[in-house]
Amino acid sequence: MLEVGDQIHLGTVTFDQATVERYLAAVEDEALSRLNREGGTAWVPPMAMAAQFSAAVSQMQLPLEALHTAQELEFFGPVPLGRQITGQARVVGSRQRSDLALIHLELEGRDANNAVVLRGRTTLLWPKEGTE
Amino acid sequence: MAQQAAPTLPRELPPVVRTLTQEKIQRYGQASGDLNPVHVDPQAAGRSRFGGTIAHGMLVLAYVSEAMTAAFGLDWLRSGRLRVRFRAVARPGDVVSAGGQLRSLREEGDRWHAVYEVEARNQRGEVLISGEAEVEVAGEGR
Repeated sequence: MLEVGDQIHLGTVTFDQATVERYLAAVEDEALSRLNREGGTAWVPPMAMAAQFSAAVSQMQLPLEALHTAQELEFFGPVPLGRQITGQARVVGSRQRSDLALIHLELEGRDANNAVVLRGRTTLLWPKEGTE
Repeated sequence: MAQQAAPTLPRELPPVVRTLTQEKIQRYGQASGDLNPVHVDPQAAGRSRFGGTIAHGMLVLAYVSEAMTAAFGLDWLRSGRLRVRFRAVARPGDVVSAGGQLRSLREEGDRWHAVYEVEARNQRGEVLISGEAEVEVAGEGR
């Protein structure tokens, strides 16, 4: 199980046109699609980056029923299409109650120049075994 | 002394309304890489405490972000901040409405910080997500 202080590499993703279009179609984001269509430059949806790294968090050593209960995100964009972003997470807290377990993580996404493009904090919660 | 007047901002964010389906949840799972069975495997999810599949919280949060993008465009991508709690799960068939209301506006240097109370509700009025969204915008020339 994850412990406070653990660092987790969340992977490196190139947010190319196909990746971004797939994301925008999945969330039906008309506002960002319009922004990209009408502007001279196409941008990576910040939530697409957050989604990728949030998914990586969900794939960690956590139970099936672990749920996000809180999320903080901060965007430092706009990030042009085609950028490669690397995600990193750090466990900053964990708590055990009689029936529940919680974990707090800080997330960060950096581009190839090491500039922070996304920062966040997430809380996951799951029922402890034998409590249902 | 302020160089620019407070910007004119929408008091209310026009709501983003989306109907969730299992197909959309699958599509989001593929796009994000989050293929947790509780979202994409109806049989496995049926055996969980949820009794069926649930939407990814980040999918519902994307609707809140869309409402901010629609109102603030590049400013949202440049300086957006979200602080939310996931209050309840969303399921296939739910009609989700995401929006927000302006809570405060403060000046900081030559920029203005607008804070919106945001939320997403289902068709029964149950709050799925609540919290705040902050964005930095330019003032208006005097």
